[in-house]
Amino acid sequence: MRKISPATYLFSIGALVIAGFIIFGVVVKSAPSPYDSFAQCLTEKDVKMYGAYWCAHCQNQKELFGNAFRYISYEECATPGAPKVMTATCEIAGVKGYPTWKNSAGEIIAGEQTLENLAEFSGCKL
Amino acid sequence: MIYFNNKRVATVLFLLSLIGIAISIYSVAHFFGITSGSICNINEVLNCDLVNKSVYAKIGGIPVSIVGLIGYLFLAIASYLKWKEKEIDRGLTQFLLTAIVIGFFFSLYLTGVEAFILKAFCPTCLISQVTTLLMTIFIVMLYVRERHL
Repeated sequence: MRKISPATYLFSIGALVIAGFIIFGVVVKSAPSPYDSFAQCLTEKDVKMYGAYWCAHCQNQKELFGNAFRYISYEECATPGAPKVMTATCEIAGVKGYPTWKNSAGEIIAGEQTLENLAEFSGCKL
Repeated sequence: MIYFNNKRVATVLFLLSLIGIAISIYSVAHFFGITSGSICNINEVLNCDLVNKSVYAKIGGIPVSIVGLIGYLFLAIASYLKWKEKEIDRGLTQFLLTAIVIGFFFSLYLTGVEAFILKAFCPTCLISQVTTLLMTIFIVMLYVRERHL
């Protein structure tokens, strides 16, 4: 019987790992979240999140929602090419730090929020 | 070619892979908040937090540092097997070349994100990018050399 070379094993395991990454990525991105209806409610009530892509607290806030974050109305405040400069839209909205949440009444809450806080802020049921 | 033989190159590749593994483990720990990352937050341009906790620190829900760690583990195993080989195994060199080409372009993409989008660099990422570049040079040299044997 022909001996299988170590390279064949490495290529096979490598292909499996890449396939695993792709499947994981697709499954993780498309899975429904228990907060889908909550996130949809926030958007229906015109509650908006302002953040920046480099902001760690914004990432934490997004992770709290999981895949439901796709339903959140989100405004990116980092200016392309100058990430630390706030866009005019965010300045006009009264954003001072990230993340910031604003409702239709113009009320603002700044900083990373728990979902309970956001439920209270928006009147949406968690 | 006294100074260039497969065993020496494999040793260098293995050592570079170990550097990559160490850097990746640190980045994974930083990503998950196990370490603060304060030693690599030098200023607003050289900043691990800005890069490793940005939206670009994940691809398809998987932290980039984990992808890097797995890549370096594969390179370390292949380098070790290359070091151990009794006769030239071109398959292993082809694996090393395939892995490093993927790693090189991945590293190039990340450097592009750091330079043109984030306008910030994480020192650990820079070490990893230099490691990948050096490994690419050595593996291409190895591949070219073996083709002419």
